[in-house]
Amino acid sequence: MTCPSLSTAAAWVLGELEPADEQAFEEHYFACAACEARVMQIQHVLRTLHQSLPPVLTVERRRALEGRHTTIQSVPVKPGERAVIHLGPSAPIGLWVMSADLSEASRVDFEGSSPDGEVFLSIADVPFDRERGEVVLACQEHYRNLPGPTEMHVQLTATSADGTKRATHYVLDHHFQSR
Amino acid sequence: MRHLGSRVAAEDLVQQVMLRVLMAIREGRLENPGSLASFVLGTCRNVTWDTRRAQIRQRAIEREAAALEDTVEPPGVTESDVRRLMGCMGRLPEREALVVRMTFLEDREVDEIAARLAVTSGNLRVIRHRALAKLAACLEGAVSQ
Repeated sequence: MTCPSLSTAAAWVLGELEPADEQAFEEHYFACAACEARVMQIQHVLRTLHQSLPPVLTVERRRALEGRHTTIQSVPVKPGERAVIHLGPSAPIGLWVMSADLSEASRVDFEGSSPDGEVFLSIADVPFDRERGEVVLACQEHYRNLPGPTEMHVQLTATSADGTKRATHYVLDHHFQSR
Repeated sequence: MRHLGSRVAAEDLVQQVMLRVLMAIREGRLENPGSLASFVLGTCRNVTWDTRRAQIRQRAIEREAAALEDTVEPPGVTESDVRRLMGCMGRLPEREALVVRMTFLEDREVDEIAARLAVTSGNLRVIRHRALAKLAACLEGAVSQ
């Protein structure tokens, strides 16, 4: 039997193969070093994803993060305002908590641009907290290695169920202390 | 050994089979000594399957444990891995990147994502498997599948 594909290995790791396919995979897997390596590759991706902090946080991720790290700075930003986060080895993560009226929103899109208007971060359909009217953007110390300006002009576009769009704007800046 | 995948497992199997055969003889369950060879073979098959079922169950438990691992930082993931993975995410087709983000970074339910993308939950899972495979290949430095 030829080795199952990496996609099949991914399906097996997630426990999403049909029973017959699962049995066929396992028949092969337990005697195949190459397949074991494939499974380990997939598991490494999942572990890495688990360790990754997405730019825009869900309510649950934010709570978990704030519960684990006491040094997280949460900086509230109102529409039209500018806010700065100072990051460094002792404060590796900061949260911009952008407030907006999201009570009618069924979807929120995020767009970040440089001061000269070039869009460099566009994320469709981001998580948001409808009740509190918040979208939370995480800023991490290792972003210091990314190219581009530290100042980001953000536009949040909230779309309601009837298609009405409402945009709010923010200016977010982050400074890194030297290591 | 072909079925068990290692010499140690095969040696364990021999011991377990011997034990079962001896117990069967002692308890008088082997009525016809002429059928010893087929009895041993049948016992081998049963023990092999028992061993593999146990391995499968163990793997399933490990998978569930990994999924539940929420606060413990697993070994072997570096900041560089995270950065490389984010680079690989940027190379995925838009829909696959969206599925990975919503599933693994935003913990959204399959049904919610499927509804957002107007696909069936079965199709969504296939997109997800394909995306994970591409990320794994990308992280290994291979060209996307």
